[in-house]
Order: sequence, then structure tokens, then C-alpha cells
Amino acid sequence: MAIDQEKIVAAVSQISLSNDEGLSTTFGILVQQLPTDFWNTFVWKLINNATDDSIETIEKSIIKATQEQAYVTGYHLIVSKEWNEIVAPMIERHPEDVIRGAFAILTAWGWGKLEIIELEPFTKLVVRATDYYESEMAKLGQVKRPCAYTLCGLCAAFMDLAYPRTHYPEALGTYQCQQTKGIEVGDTYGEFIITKADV
Amino acid sequence: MSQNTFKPNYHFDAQRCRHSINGTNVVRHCYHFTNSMNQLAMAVEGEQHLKEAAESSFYQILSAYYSQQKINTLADKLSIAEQYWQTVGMGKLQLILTDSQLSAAEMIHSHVDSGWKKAKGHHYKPINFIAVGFIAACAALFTDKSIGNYEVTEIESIVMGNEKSMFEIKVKDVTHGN
Repeated sequence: MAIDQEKIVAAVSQISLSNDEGLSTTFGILVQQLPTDFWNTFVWKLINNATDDSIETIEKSIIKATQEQAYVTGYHLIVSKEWNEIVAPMIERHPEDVIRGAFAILTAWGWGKLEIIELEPFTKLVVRATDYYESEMAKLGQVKRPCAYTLCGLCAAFMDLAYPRTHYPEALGTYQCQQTKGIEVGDTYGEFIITKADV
Repeated sequence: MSQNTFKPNYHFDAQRCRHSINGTNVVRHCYHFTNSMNQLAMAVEGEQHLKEAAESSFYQILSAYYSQQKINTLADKLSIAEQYWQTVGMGKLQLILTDSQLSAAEMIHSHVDSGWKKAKGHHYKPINFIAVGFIAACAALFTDKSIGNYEVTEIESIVMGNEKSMFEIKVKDVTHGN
């Protein structure tokens, strides 16, 4: 059975989060479910308070922070009980199906609808995203360039995990992501191109 | 169901693959993400942005809920706010009133502190910027004021080794631009 994104999304999105004294766990990790508007406002404030000289550094810092977290989160996802029950039985090809399965989980968590358009093992990944929450940053004010920094970090991290130059956790940063299209700047979808990082 | 029981209406829009609670879009993130955002805020001097984003976002959400559900008493508003915080997975918060004003808050379980400790161990200073914003929003709502009127300071912190996180709440001295 190949990866069935719809089936994974349907199963994962309906998992009720435990709530033990206000702490929720799923896929073996603590999770929260905060308003998308809150996260967007935070990033928006960071970007809009940056100077022309510092904005690029801030953008890279956001991507780096999310790449680091997605690298660790991705690793925990694919060794969890829920992964073994829902996704693992669908995996036919390693690691391509692992990436597809992981994207399906993030889609089910509400990050955005993520679709792999092109995958060249060890070289390149092209992802298309629709309905991603970061695109709503455009509602907060004028957006001059694509700003789905979280998805950039996520996509790069998943390539770090799938095609590592060395073992976990040393492979972080093997890949980099560039967002080439964005709903937030008027495109019909977001496009993310992941390639080997400049050394 | 009692008036002071928070009623979360969970919805997953299968077409857009988006979650909402009581009509507000939410996204599921793990503690690694929360840690990264806290660390990012500290690295780029963006702690205030995190606090302000939280204050403004939670103020709107709770305000809308109080209005829609006709929550009018201070005790009910306080209870709903505590339950909301717990529902979204941020921990167990106790809001403390003195003379009908929010004067302090305690958190005995915290997503932010637990996540940080799991990943990195203890830290030398408090990191609950989101909670600070949330509590400031509550203080404003409980006195029918707008956001930006209260200064919340985390004075004890689980991540620093304290048993619970403690927050002190004061009215901002706007005459001095604080």
C-alpha cells in the first residue's frame, strides 16, 4: 500500500489530544494548539520591526529555528506508536514514503496542505503548499516577499532526516529551502525548493 | 452545564485541513516548536513581540467568548480563562484576585517549561513570554480595559528550578511610558 495522504489526514486529525493537567501529548510529544493568528502576529512583529540591515538576519533566524525544531520533531514522529499504527503500514519505499507520511501528519495538524511535486533523492525536493496558515500573514499588512518561514524550515529539516550526510542528530543543516512562490504575495500556491546547503 | 464551564467546539475543516476551536483557527505544534520560538525571541530581542502577540490574540478570543456565552461575573470569567489555557495544552494556571483585580497567577504545570526542561534542562531565567501575554490580557478583560494596561512579570519559574511559576501583575504606569 502506498502512502494515502487523505487516509492519514483523516486518522490523525481526529486523534483527541490527551489533557493531563493542561499538558497534551500525541505522537509521544507534548503539543499545544494555539491560534494561528497568534503565531503569525509574532512573526509579523519580528519582521516589521527589523531594520533594512537586519531583516535578512531575522528571516534566516526564523527559518533556522524552525528547521532545528522540525528536525527533532520529525525524528520523534517517525519512531512513535501512532506512526507505527497509522503510517508505517503504508510505507513501501524508503525514505520517499517517510517524507510523504510526515508531510501528511503536519497537514493533519493544520500547518497547510503539503504536496511533493518533485523529489530527486539526495539532491532536490519541490513542495507545493496550499491553505498554509502563514499565508494569512498578508491579512496583517503588506507582505513584500514570501514569508512562510516555518514551512521553509520544515521542508529543509525533512530532507535532513531523509537524505542525511551523516547520522541523526548531526545531519541538521545539510539542506536549505527557498520559498519561490507564496499565496501571501499573490500566487495561487506556495512553492518551496529544497537543495543542498552551501557549505 | 454550569455557566463557568468552558465549552470548546472543536472542528476540523477537511477541505482546507485546518483546525479551529470555537471558530478560531488553531495549529498543532509540539514543544520543540514552542522552544524554538522562545529561543528565537530571546536571540533577537523579540520577547516583547511574543508577549504582545499573545496579549492581543488571547484578549480577542476570550472577549468574544465572554460576549457570545454571556459570561458576566468576574468569577466566571476567571474560571473560563483558566480552562481555556488548559484546553489549548499550555498548562494549569491559577489566576488570583485581590480586591476584584487580577494580582497574581501561578502555573503548576506548564507546556513551555516542561518542553524546555525535556529538551534543554533548566534555564537561568524565566521563559513564559506567552503566559505573560495571556495573563496581561486576562487582567485587562477582568477590569474592562484595553490591552497594554498591565505589566506582568514572571518572578518564579519552573524552568529555573522552582516548584511552580509565579507571576506578579501591576497596572502599568503610563505616565512614565512603561
